[in-house]
Amino acid sequence: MRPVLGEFLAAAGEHIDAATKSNAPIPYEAACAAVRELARLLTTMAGCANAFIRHDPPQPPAVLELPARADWDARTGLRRAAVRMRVAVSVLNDREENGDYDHPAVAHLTAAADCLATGHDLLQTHFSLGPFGSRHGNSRWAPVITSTTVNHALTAHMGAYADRIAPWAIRLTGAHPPDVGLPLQARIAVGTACQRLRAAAAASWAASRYQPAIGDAHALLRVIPLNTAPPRHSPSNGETLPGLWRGTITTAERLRHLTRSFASRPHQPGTFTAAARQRIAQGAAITGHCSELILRTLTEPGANQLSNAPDAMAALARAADATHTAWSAWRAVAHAWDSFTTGVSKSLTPAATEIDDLVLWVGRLAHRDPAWTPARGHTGLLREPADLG
Amino acid sequence: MDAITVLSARVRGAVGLPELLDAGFDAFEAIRAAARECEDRTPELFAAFMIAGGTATEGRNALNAAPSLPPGTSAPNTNPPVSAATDVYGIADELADLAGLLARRLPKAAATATLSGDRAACDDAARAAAEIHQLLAGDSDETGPW
Repeated sequence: MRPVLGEFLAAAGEHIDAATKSNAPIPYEAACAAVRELARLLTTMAGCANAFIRHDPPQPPAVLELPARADWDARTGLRRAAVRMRVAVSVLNDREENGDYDHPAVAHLTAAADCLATGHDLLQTHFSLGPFGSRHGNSRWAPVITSTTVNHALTAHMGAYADRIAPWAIRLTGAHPPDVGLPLQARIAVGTACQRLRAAAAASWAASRYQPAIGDAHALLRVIPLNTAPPRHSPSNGETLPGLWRGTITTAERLRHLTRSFASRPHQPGTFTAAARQRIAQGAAITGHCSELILRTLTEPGANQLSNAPDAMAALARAADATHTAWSAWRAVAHAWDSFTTGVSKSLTPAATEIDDLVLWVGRLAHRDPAWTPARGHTGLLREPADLG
Repeated sequence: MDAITVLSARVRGAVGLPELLDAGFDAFEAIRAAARECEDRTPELFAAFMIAGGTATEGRNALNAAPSLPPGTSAPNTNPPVSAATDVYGIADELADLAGLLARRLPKAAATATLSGDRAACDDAARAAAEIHQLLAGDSDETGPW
């Protein structure tokens, strides 16, 4: 299972709760360390809220639409809070004030910052850098991540954290007598940061109130996965039918990822040879051919429970026709590469290498032989309709 | 299957590396064309012929890179390599036999070739021939990519 963003948001929230729940006095050394970790945490929170905005104007939106204006206020507040907290850190650095990083509250702040940084990196895996530093999506999740509603949900999360951090952080400014506590400039900076955090929290609350789809956006946000290919799983002889279904889905997902990943990165000329392109086309043709066999089997009268549903049977027949058209087109592509000798490299792209896995998965779904391969020695009977469920 | 029979005789009787490379090139091309013709004959063999056609292209292209391959001297053969009346399983047998012959002769040629380009070309083409044989042979128990 790939990690999802919700795991890191939840973990960050738990650590923030653990750090801020205690009313016990904070020793001076721990207060210094807390300021440093708060600076890191607030910077990461501001980064999460602002990094994936599609259009981020430097000035507030001219049109007074409450969700947009409130969201802008929240994100700006988070940025300004982070800036003020970094000012406090610079004051401590000037005085070479270190700190007690082993204090439980500080340790939880460190962990919260780590979780959010990891979550930010998870989101970043769905984007690649272009030649001039521009960012472009390299997965199906990229448009979701940059959508307005999902960004509002992410800002709302940061606003909720801010609402819990501010009342605790303000205690750092008055926890000790002035002559032994944080330097004056640091206390002013921390206080100002807390004001910004309260304002950001209030603005994000307002934005959420007037965002009708915020619940769905939160649900989407929690399930955004790390953009990585599932592990390769080649079929073994004797897979069960559910195992074949799962293998097909996983391998198809892996091939989608490999293809996108290869296309989005610069590669040396000659690595995408005629042989690689032809292998992909022929793999697609054979996979489609086997898929059509499965669909035709399902449309046989009396084949399954759908036999009594004419609309469903008609839809299956249309799907089979469309699949036939698709694999015929892939076959034409494969044939077209017969005439080319582009490149002498024998190396194949990852997708060209692994499409054979998909051929085996789908071929074994279509045929009874659990060890089916395209080779003549393994050609066999198709599965019975009842076997396909 | 006269075209395949003629090519089998050329491959079997080739003397010297250039002659074998020339015969092998034409043999792979004939296998490719025949496999493409047979893809639609029966659904059971669609995948086998589809992959055999692509692999024959790779074998042909491998030999095309051999430094000792002589320039083409004969006009391209425009006759269809297979007859519509011939049993498709019989065609698969003959293509498998031709590929098997290439898979046996090319490694021996690679072992005696003096140019590294020729050795690499023969090795790559031999692998392609072995895969085609494994795909199309009716009683093959050889291990291969499939």
